[in-house]
Amino acid sequence: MAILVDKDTSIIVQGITGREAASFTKDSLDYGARIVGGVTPGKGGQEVFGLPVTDTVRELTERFPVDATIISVPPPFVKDAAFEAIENGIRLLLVVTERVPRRDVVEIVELCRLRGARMIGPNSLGVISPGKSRLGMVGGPAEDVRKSYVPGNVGVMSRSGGMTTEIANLLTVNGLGQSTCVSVGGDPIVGSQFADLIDVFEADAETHALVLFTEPGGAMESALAARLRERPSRLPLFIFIAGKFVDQMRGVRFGHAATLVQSEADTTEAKARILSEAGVTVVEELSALPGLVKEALNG
Amino acid sequence: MRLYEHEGKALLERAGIRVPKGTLVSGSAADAGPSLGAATFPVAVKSQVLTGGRMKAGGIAFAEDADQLSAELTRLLGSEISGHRVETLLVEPKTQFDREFYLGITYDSAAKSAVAVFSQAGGIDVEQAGAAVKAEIPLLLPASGFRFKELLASAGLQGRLLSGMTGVFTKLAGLFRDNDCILAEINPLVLTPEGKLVALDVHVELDDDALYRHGDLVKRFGLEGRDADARERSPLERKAEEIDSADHRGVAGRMVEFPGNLGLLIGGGGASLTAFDAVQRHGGKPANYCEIGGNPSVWKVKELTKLLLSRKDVERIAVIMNVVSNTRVDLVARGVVKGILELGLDPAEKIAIFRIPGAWEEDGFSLLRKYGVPYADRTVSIDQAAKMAVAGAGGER
Amino acid sequence: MGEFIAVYLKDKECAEHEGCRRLISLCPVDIFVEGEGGAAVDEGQVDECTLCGLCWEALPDAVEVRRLYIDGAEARA
Ligand code: SF4
Repeated sequence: MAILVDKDTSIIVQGITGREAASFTKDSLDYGARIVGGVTPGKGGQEVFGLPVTDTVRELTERFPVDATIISVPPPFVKDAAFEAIENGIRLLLVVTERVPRRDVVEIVELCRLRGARMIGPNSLGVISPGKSRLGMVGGPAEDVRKSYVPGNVGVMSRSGGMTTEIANLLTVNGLGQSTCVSVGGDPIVGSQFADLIDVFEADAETHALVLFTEPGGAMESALAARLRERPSRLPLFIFIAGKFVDQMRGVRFGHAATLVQSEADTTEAKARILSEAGVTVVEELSALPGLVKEALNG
Repeated sequence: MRLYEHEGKALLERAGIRVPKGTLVSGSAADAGPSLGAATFPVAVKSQVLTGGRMKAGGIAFAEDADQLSAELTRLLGSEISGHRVETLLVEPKTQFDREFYLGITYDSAAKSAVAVFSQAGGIDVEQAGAAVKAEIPLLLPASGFRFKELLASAGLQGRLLSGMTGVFTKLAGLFRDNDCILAEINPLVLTPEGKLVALDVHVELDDDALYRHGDLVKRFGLEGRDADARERSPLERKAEEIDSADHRGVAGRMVEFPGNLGLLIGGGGASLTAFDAVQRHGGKPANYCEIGGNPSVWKVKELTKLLLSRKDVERIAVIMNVVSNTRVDLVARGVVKGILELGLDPAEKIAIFRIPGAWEEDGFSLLRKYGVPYADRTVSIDQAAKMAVAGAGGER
Repeated sequence: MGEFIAVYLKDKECAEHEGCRRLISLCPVDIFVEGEGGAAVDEGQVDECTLCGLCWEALPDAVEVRRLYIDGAEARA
């Protein structure tokens, strides 16, 4: 059983007729994801790749059991799309849209809490369980996904979508497959942080080690460290922290919206310190990662 | 996006929170005279610059009479406070007070919630002062005063002060929500001898991603084009921004200059940070940070390459990205090679390493081979590629 | 001919296709422009070609796109 998404996870796409959504829908079908339909208001009745397009989420949830939705609509419509999904009983939301207003993100998080739903993202490329299914567009077209991702026992979580694939590829090239890889999203507030998802990885028998990628800024690492101090993980944990040079450049934003050093706690140095105190192996050089993981798995 | 103090105060006033009656002064001290004719002394003269710590930096002054005021106007207008030019001053009657407090609403990203923060130790050093109390504020529910009353009572407030402060905090929360702020902070909020609560200074930051639904504020405050971060751009950085915005396809810009000799064309967000660190780790001296992402046109990459090489001290460039699935290897390769050719230079000499595996890599690598450019595929990690670039070792050709 | 890409329009075949002008709106990166008596190639733009295939699928006899770094230039010149 893979976590978050598996072979049988039934998925819909909100905004399916958009340019980006249409292309990742096709790629995901090629990869074997069970996408059952899509929603675009005003385009109900059309078909995309043989899938029904409806005006409302309800028309799909009435026809199929739906486990997960991919939300790929412009920023002003994300909140309503997410509410529609949650109120129609969908319990896993992936939001790929970038630049969603922060208030809307927090309101979605609050509704998720009330209803027992989970949001990944916003600004996430998605979730993949290699060889089984994929939610979103992480890794690109199916043939490219197969080059970078192979099934195995290492979990990956990354604040950068591109680095999710880069790390999977590094593991793959060195003979290490992956259980599940999650692009958690590069925004200041995301629905699922490291500390939220670590439980899910720990509960997964197929995951034997967990690799994290992070950047300066944000509070995700201190939340993870707090969780680990309270309750150490059964998994060997590794983290690569990029952007050391940003430590010296307060107030300048690099890369993702959240990648900004405003205070001491935002620096890579502070993050490395609190995480290594909490038992996480801080990887200094990316190419050393596979060796360290192998050691932990064989030791 | 940070608002000026006077803009923040306009929002407070609209929300029903008391602020001193101020007058805005710009231009020269002479122009300002008439509008201040009716000033009641003493007054506070406050530089309107987008930075904290104005008091310490000498950006805030007091005047007892018209002569002192005109001297302060002359001194401050056009001066620089913490690297920011003072173009506007806010002149307010100086408020007498007995106590100062700190009130703030912001987001706590670990809690994924809005939070209210309160401290009895308001004033200029609240960040260090500690002793603040916090409470999460749900946004889905209509703002409700009891949450603030509870918070303030837990901080020891009582009686009329508790009721008055609860009212101000509830209004501040409404302002925060209605204007899509990411920070709304009153520091200090003072209690006057007459028992009134007055906001003496305010710091408001708006969510850049929500400005589209606040056309009124954008218009009223002229927010269009106000820089999101206050860093001065170098001419080359501004040129990079122009190139990026000249063509909507993909990203190829966000340049930050450094004093080194190795030009970097790197991306996406996380990988560019990784590559920059790796170059430094291996003893290289990056000439810049930048970020390529999405699917930039060949033209855009070409222009950025030429721009980088226009710097006399940039000897070579390294092109490094994560394994790409959206960006196309061949199109980036075309842009870089073409830029170098247009400068009459040799791509084989100027490109230290090209390491972008992923979509259309076969085409990209064929193209690079034709020009003898050293390249690396997905079996070479980002830091190994950085090492090659620094060592001048190159990859396959 | 660009540095990396060459786009050839066969005059004869193109003339026989009333729809040759279609290429102008078809190409996503504006490589075809209005020319004398039909479409023409904007040589300054050809290196932007994404090899998407829309043009040669629509008019296989009239247009040929070659990658100079793999296929070389047109043999017939
Ligand atoms: S292949 Fe596509 S991009 Fe290239 S010329 Fe034809 S239509 Fe234009």
